[in-house]
Amino acid sequence: MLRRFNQTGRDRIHTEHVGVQLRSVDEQNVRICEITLDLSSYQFAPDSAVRVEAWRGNISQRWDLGKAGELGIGTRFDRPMNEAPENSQFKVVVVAADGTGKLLGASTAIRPKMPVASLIPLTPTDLGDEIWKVNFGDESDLPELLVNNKIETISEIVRNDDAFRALVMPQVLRSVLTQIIMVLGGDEDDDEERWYLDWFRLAKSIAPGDVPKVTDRTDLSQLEAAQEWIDRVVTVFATTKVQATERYRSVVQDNS
Amino acid sequence: MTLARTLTPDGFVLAREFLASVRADPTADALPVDELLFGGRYSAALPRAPDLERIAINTRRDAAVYLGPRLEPIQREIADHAGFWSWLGMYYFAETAPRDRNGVLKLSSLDETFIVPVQEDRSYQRRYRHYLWSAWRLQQAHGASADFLLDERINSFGDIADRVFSYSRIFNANGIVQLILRLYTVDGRQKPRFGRAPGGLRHLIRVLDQLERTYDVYGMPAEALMRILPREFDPWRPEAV
Repeated sequence: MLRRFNQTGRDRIHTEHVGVQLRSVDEQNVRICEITLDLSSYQFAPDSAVRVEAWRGNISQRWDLGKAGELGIGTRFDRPMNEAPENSQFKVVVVAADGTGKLLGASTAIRPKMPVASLIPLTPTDLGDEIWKVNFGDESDLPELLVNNKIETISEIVRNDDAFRALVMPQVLRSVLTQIIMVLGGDEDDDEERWYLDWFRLAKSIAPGDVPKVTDRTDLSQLEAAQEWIDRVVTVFATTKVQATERYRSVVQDNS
Repeated sequence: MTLARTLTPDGFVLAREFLASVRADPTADALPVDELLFGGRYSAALPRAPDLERIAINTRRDAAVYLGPRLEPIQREIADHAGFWSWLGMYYFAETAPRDRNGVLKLSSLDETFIVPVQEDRSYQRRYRHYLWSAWRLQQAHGASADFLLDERINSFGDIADRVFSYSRIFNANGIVQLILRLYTVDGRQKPRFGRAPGGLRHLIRVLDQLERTYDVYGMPAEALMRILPREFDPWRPEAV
């Protein structure tokens, strides 16, 4: 197991100390993000600057939230998101006040609270003639499930239609796990709290056991072990969580 | 003088059709029809609309200097108003559309250079290609510190403009924009061969990504960024010229 060390000297701001929620639009039709912070358990210099950034790919928006010493427990900020898209992820940084720009603390990527608890946000968009696909954006972006906005009730279909969920959800899981392990070389022992650790937790809750690592994409044994693990997780997921065959059969019988 | 308006959803459709027709036959030298700009189906009145007139727009500065004061009273309302900027793009089509040396229209494949897209993820990136919106935003965000970019042709996106306008993280970071201009321009001109060279612009973007683990690079002033750049950037520093 390869340990990684935090050599930056900065504190990690834990996600339980940061809350982000997207709220309704303002009169200019701009989404408001509500940011809640509790930095009381960190020893940041009182005059250090606290900033929040929302980003997706190379689109971003930043806000200055003041000095660390001015923030109380659970301080809340409402800020308009007129630059960053709604499917952005967020991070909090605390910056030294000495003009060096040095980070004293930083959070990992934080996903805003969704109305419906889900690991993967749903984004209706123009997909041409595709019904759905998983979008991974840049390496640090959270994955999102894109669905075709030409289908009027598509969000409801994704959430509630048995046939859609039976056919699509196992493949969504397969796509995400493949991206994490085969493309990004994700490591469940990563010292940095990366977005895919939530997916590893999900996978292990479905099919307990160690998560394989692919450190060499030319090593067939690593690739095969990873593929077997992914297949096993998806199979158990389809059977126990989605009950894919049973539900799809039921829909087909109802429609025949 | 003309009171500015906004495009309706039908107006967006017609505007795209117009741009497609120009690409199909650039020699026709067509202009957006009056119906698109002033007809009730394709455009709508804008509250507190500024009065605009036809002007020569060669550089981003020309557009920014003209539009800045006229939009200032309604700045908040129109800052992200896709319908307004798209109407403006159509209104000033003749003044801003790129042409070849024979004067024949030579449009980019991106409608977004004239029409600001609405409510789509990728639109946040592509809207920086809107000739007028990006010029206006550049003046708003960077003012005199972006003289090099302001003095470029409004419809050109050289290496530096392309990078600055394509990445809103960079565009919105005053220190990084100034850093780029200080490193890679001199006396109002781009330095030669900085694109892929060691210490060049692409290298800088990669280094900033690495430095971001330790520094708040997108919040730092240019002087502070200059101090933390590694040695391979020394040949590009202003004092090295």
